[in-house]
Amino acid sequence: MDQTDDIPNDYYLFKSCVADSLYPGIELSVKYVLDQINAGYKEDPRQSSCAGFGVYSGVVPLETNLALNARNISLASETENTDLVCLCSSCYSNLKHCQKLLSKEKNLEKDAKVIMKKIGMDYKIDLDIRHVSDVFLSRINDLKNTDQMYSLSGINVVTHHGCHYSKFFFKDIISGTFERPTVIDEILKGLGCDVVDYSEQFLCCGGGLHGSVIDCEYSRETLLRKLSSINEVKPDIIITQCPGCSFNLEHYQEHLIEESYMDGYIPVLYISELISILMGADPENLGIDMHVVPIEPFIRKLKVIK
Amino acid sequence: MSTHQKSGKNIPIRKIKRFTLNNTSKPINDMLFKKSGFKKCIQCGRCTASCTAAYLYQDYNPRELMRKFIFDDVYSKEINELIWKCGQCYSCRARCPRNCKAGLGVQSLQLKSVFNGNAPPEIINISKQIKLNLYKYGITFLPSTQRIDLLEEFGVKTNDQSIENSKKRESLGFKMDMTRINPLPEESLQEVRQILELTGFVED
Repeated sequence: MDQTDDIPNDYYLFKSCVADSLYPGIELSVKYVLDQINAGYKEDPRQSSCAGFGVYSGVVPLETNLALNARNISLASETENTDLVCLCSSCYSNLKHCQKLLSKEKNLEKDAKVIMKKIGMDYKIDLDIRHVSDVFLSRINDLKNTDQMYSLSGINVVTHHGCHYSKFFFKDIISGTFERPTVIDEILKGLGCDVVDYSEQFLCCGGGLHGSVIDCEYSRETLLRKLSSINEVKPDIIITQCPGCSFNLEHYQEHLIEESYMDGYIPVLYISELISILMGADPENLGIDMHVVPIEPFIRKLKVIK
Repeated sequence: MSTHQKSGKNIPIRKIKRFTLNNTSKPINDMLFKKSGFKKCIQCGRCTASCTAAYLYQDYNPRELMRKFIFDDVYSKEINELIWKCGQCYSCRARCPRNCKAGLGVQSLQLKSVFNGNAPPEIINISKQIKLNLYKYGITFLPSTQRIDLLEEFGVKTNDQSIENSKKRESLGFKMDMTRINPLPEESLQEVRQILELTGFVED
């Protein structure tokens, strides 16, 4: 963990409450990978949640959302030349939307500035907001140059990019299009594995707000479409870049297998979890063993390099 | 009624009732609602063809919702129920040729529904929970905020696989029902609480 001043802080690592609540291994593996490529990052306990879960559930008012995130983005902007890096696609979308509204709508900006003044903070929100998968792709050569314990040779992967990453700010996707984002695909190809297409690539993970708040019908029916389509191409693993997507894509498999929509379990990992395993991290030490679809059968398929 | 001469027959021409967007009686003065871009909507239906919820629910149709936005027809009980079928995936936004965002209009109406106490009880409950989480900890989502009954919804094997996760969480240095290893410092919590109070997002 880097909280010292003598190491350059290239990235302000924005903590995700959904990731840390459902899969602590996501944050731990992101930090593991960043450490391996000697990327500086800053963790800031002062940062609050972005409130995205509440925003997309329709319960957090715009004024509250903008003020909370004017504070969060201003905290990140205290360090010069730092990018704010999100682990969750809803944080990414919500923070970028707040930044855009505050920059474009003078009345909203004025209100947020008044609140920031009242709480005794400077208002500065003009840094770049990125997703950690963007960071990994931009540093793919650093990733390739690390010592790896396992090879992805012969492994078939399907990817799922979070809707809140690829559909709201679709012009900012750094590889591919909103119809077919290829950010994680390019990282994986760079690391030597085959990425397979499937028909329901555009479809959401079935999260919505129904999945955890009103009822699960939306999730059940959408996952039936999504996972049936993934099952057709028989991948060894599903790779995501959003904690909520990981949750939905693995938790609904048991019933779909029982009802013969799937032939068997397909493990689901967040991109940094997979990279850290390749680099030789112990899954248990990073909390990667907390997935409900066991990952051991997948790890046994990997060829040992050293 | 005026008539039109064609092929020697008198064909009646119906008077067209003109609607203009400026004539709406109670326009919603809300930034998210405006940002939905409903005034630009050409009713092409790409949003509906792309919508995850429209695929599932016969009565959910973002194109029709945008039409209702245009005519300020958003105060019915029917709309108040329909808006909770949207999954906020923004497929509507990605594929719209006019850069509209039906999902944002829906979010705006959802907020009004919660504010007026008309939202489903599950939503009112999660709203209270999120207010409390943010006020107490500066965090929106705690491990216990996930309310799905794992055994009932996902099955025995999935539930069994999750049973040890609380212990694993603690072995990694996390508390069982706290999101972060290092909580927000007291000064930061005070700032967050001030924001919540100033913007009215606190429990009565």
